[in-house]
Amino acid sequence: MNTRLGSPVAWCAWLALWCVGVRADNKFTEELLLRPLASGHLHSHFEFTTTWSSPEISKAVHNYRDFEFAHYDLFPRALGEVVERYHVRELHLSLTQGLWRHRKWGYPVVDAPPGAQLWVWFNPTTDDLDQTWRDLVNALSGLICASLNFIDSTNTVSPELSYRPQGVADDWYAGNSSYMRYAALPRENVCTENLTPWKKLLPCDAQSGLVALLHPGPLYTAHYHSLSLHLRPSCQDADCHNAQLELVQALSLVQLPDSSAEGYQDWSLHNLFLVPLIYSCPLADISRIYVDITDNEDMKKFTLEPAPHQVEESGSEASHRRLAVYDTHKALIGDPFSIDAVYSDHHIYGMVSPPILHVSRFITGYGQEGGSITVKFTNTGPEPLTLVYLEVVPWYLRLFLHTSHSAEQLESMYVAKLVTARDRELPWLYEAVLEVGPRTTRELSLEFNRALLKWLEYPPDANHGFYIPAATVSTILPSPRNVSVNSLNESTLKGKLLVRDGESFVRIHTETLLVSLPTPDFSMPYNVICLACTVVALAFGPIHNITTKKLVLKKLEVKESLLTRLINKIKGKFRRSSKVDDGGAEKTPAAEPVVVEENPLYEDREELEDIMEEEEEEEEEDKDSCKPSEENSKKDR
Amino acid sequence: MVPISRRMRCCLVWFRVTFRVTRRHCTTCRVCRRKRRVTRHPCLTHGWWGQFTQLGLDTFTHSFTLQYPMGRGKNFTGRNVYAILRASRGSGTEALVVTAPYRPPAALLPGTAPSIALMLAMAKFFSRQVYWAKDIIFLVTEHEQLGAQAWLEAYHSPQPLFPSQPNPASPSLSLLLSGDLEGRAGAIQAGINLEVHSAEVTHLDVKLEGLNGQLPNLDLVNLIHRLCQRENVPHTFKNRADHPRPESMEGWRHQLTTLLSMVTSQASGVPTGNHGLFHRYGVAAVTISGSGREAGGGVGVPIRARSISLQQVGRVLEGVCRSLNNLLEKFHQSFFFYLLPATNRYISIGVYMPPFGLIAGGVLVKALALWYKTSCADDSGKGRHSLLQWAPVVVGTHATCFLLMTCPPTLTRLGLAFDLTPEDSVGLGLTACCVALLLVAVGAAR
Repeated sequence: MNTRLGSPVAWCAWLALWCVGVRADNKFTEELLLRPLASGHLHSHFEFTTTWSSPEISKAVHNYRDFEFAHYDLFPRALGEVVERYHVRELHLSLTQGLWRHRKWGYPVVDAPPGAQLWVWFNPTTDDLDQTWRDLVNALSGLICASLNFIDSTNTVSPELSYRPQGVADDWYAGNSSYMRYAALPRENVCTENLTPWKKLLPCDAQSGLVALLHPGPLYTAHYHSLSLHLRPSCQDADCHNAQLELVQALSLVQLPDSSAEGYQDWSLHNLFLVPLIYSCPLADISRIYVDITDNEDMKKFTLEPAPHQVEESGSEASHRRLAVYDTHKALIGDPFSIDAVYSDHHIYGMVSPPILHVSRFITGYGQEGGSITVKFTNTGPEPLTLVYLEVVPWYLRLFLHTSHSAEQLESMYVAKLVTARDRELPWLYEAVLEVGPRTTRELSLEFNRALLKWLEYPPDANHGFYIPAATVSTILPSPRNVSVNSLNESTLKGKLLVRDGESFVRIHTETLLVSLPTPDFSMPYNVICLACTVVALAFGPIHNITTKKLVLKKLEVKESLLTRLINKIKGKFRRSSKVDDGGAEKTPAAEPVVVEENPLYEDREELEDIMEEEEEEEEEDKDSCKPSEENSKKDR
Repeated sequence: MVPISRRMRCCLVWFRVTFRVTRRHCTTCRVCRRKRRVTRHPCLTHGWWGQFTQLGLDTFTHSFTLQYPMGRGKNFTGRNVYAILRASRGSGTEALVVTAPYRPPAALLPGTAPSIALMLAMAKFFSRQVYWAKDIIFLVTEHEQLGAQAWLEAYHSPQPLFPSQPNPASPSLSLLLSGDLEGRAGAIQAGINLEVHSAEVTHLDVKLEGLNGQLPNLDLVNLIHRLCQRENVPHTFKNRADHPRPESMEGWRHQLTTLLSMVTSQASGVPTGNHGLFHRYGVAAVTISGSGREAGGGVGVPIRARSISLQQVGRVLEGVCRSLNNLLEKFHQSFFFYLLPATNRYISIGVYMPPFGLIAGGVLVKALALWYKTSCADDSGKGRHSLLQWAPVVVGTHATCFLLMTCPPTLTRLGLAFDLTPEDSVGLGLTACCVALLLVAVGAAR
């Protein structure tokens, strides 16, 4: 009895211990940053971080081996299996609608180009990287319900400098771009069908916690909306003895709160997201909301209701940041929770001072023949900046580098990697390092010709134009001013938002471009032309044959040896008897005049004879094939 | 069709204020012009710049210079103001343009202050809507077509930073220094030019003819006429309303007159508004103009007790912009070559080209006949058509034409000696050359 009672207790105790043990190496944090922007917009950035640390993972990271996951806890299994199977070490995926306006809004926490973007670092042990990449893309496309399966060799590149690993990586690995693949689909639309599977990767699903705020209605009427997934191996401690796996799911929104109130920028959690926040996620270790109050000295601009639990300050004079922190675990005690910001004054739109570096990119030229992609880099800071500029252009724009690289353009610039396009196979990859002087604007232009596609290669909306993916500009800014995040190695948003003095890395994306290619008129006249051409082509063949060839009767002079004559006679007898059987009218081929199609172009008699001989042989073969049937008939007899 | 929002009405109250402000700007400008005798209107452009900025739009100014080649060679400068409404559902790849020319109060042509006010009201209303998928550019140009041309040129083919490189894409010979634009918004899909001269208009007139007789896509034209019809706004083409009985003889004559006036303005090659310059860049654009009762109204427009308020015009424009916003592809197919005898009828190229073919065919037949005749008769006089005999005539003709083409700058310099304006000296000089050539020809014939 005692033992029988004891064993369930022991089991429970063991289970509890085990659970605690597992929970200790899986951590989940959910954070939301609300940042009023100078342009009057409000930027909200959700970040859900799941970390998984175990000795096996740490070993796999340090030895560049594939992850072998067992006993999933908070980490999403659906993604884990994909990562395990396709030898992924680092994965970054973003789906974005709208364009982040760097000039007005500064830099975001994570920058993403319009459309879909995916870049992955694979483990060096991967055998066939291209095939793995193709399979991974299809798996992810199913996982996140996006048409990532349109990624193929025509839009995949491996840039040298722009997309270095963000997690733990040694120099030999980080410098070898053959382990990475980058692709962007600028035309991809983002909608709820992507949001739902993305939410399902979270441990609390969409039921409780900050995820509950993500109602599709306000999300897709926002001015900017970006959904992303970042997986990387990161350090657990400062000297990086123990590595962990970190999955960051981020969602960025830019909304204009003014649209409802009359000239006031008032906002509250409830009218931004239209759903109440009632339950916190019990699995989250940290669940916090930050409001950026750097510009709000002494609550003069707006007041926050309720008052924050804590105010955190970081950074020095020029790059200083104050965050009002709300702990949702503390705040959510049964009632819906909301933060209200009440502004004391009307918002006055005006000039917004641009950040240190901003880039604009556009197409110049008109007509259907040529044009050029022009990029303008503006450095408003007092120090020169060295930039890495990455351009991936589809093959149907044929770039001219000789006209683009005049002496003036080549000054203080070098092309780090250039891969020329191959029609229907490879895109252009153009990666350049250039310097922009203090308070100057530098212009770079790449001239191109528009290719004429095959008529089946045009999409159904051919006259809409073709999208050119966004260019990437990466640089290291001398100061953390204007930068949202300058410590990328931190795992949590809180850590990232702390301003640290010193240089900060920034990667921004430019506009996507729409280029119209020479398009045939896919309408009635076009169809008529196609049809008429087909009819002409069909008529041409017979007419050409009739006019260039003539039919002549030709008697073959067959020289036969005694043996063959004998064989032919025997055959003839058989033939006669079979003729009687079949009732067919056949003669011996030797005595028969043969119709030969004589082409006047065949002037060489020998060639003609060769052909005739071949024909004879064929006839012989035909006879051979007849034999079995004759034998059959004999047997019947 | 497009649902027209009622909130436009709220904007109209605001519009009245704006209109007053714009008018006040005009008067202040008149004052500052008198005082300082400046051709630029810094106060005015800054006024609009401020108004567009306050609506939350990205506002920029664009300066351009014209190096006038005639006479003593003067430089004219101008400044356009444009504001970009960033679409929340797009990523800055496509754009629509709503433009209005600014005319100073002393201009010969009727003023366009109401159209600028209307544009501001539209901007205010549009900036609060979430359905925009294409950026909308509101552009106020100066110096009539020069400003529009400079802006378009700067948008599509900016002058290179290094003037040593010739710009092959620039259509005009470096006379118009178009400068550079600070902000852009993707490929322009369509353009609407507003020329509303009065706060109360009798009807809306749609102008189509562009540079060198180029026409916008017929779908755009039809769209505007249909929306006018739905909003119960009288609409005309060439300031002539549709005849109530188009099948009658009277109606036929009415339509023929409309058609002929369209052909005449196309033949002249001069655009009937700023929209005409967009066509070259592959952008379908039209001008919507409206003027008050004092302008006399159009031919056949029913006279009503009440004029059309700007609210109704605004509703039409909202419909047009929303329809254009919904375009999936840019204007294609349909018709680019057509003749309009009325707002709701068109003559397609398939109908009017065969007569042209016949005319050309007649010439061909005549030429063949002549050739046949000469080849029959060539036994008698074989040496008559030697190359040496005709070469001087051909070379002479080409040389004269080349000289005539290059002479205007010389003529203007000559004209300065007689105190003539450059325009007069060019006209007179060319007439004189023609007369001289005719006299030479007559003399040679004798």
